[in-house]
Amino acid sequence: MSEKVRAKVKDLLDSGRIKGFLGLRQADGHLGPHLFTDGRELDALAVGDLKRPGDTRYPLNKQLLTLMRCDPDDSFGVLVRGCDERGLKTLITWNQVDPAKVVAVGIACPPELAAACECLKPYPDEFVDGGKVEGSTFASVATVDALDLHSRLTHWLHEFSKCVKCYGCRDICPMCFCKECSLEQEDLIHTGDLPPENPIFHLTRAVHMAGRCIDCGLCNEACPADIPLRTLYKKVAEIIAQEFDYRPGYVEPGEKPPLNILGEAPEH
Amino acid sequence: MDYRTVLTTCAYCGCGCSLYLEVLDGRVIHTFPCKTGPVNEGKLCVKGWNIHEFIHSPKRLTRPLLRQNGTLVEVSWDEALDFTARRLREIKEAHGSDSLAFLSSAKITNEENYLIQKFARAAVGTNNVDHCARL
Amino acid sequence: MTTKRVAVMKELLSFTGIEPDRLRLEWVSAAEGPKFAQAISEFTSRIKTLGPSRLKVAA
Repeated sequence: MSEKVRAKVKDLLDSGRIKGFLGLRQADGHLGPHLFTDGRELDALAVGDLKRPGDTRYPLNKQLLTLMRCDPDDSFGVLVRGCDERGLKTLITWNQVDPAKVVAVGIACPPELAAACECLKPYPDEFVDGGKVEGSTFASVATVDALDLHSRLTHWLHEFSKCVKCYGCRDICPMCFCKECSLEQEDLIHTGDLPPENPIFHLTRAVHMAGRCIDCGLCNEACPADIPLRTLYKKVAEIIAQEFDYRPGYVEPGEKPPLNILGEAPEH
Repeated sequence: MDYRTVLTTCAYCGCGCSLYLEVLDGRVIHTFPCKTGPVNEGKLCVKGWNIHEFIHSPKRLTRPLLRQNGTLVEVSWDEALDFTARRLREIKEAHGSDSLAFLSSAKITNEENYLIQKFARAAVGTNNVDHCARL
Repeated sequence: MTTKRVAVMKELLSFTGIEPDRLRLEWVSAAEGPKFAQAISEFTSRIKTLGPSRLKVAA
């Protein structure tokens, strides 16, 4: 799968269009994030999937932000799946990324990964490799929706009570770029409580994901307690889509999220 | 700009989680769990997530310090080691081997940890050995 | 803006199993004493009907 990506990246690097390419590198028995700066080292370039589809997804956009903040004058390339491209668009909307300085090299996700992610669009607008797989609906959200109110609370209180407050969901989130985080505000979140105040901690983060979460699911994968965070944020995305007809990453970059502009009030 | 991600192992406890350190111009600035690490499978605890913070901490002990008249004074390695050896010997002779204890660290190598327990048991003669990451 | 946020919050509360009626948004000016009293009375009576939250019991 990586041959076409390799050729594309080599072209970008050799022509000087980009200074470096953020992708995955095969080394030490793992596929890990790496900044390629030389066309000659691209033999080690990989696009993911060490043992099963999607087992080496990394928040490359988050690393891209670090690079662009350090070196705002140069252009960089980045490997994107459907979710990463939504992230890139959203970061442009939030004025965190200069679109003129980024070249996305897209790959489409295989059917197993697309199904496991319940991804609405498991491919970027443009991709150099992989095949287009139809998106699916949020079955995990429907499962919780089908419960009565009492059972939903039981479900979430149980899940949130497993939290070890590692902040991994925030630290791996490519959309969490704030310099100051509400989850570290003493007035909202007490330090020293374990598990963190249930459900305040998780609802605070869920609200902050409204109009921002691009459903990459890295939070869920990083959670050592296996809290189904992705289901929670998928629901938040559904609420925003229903109320305001807005999905982050599916709208044109620059179109501001509904909770950040005055705009029309919801109907009910 | 020199940017690299370096695969390494968490030094906070004995679990051995794999992680990538983000290094920008020689400074370690962020941590990501290794998704294919056999121990942690892409997850980390709060300590692992923040392991990059101690590396450049100004609070780290980088040179031998000796407390003289209540204040810590920088001294040479020879002076520090001579003082330590003399005091360890004095305490052992006055109060016996079990009046001494040795606390080791997760942030040194297995071999260094081995040496510390060997020193405690063989040279000093006590089993009072512990480790900051004994879980 | 607040209207939008409260609408989202009510949906989110419902999804996590908390009665959305426990959250209510009302605009009352400093000159509208009776309206304020009525809103609070309605709200407290609604809360009493719902009874103690299980979050309170769990805490």
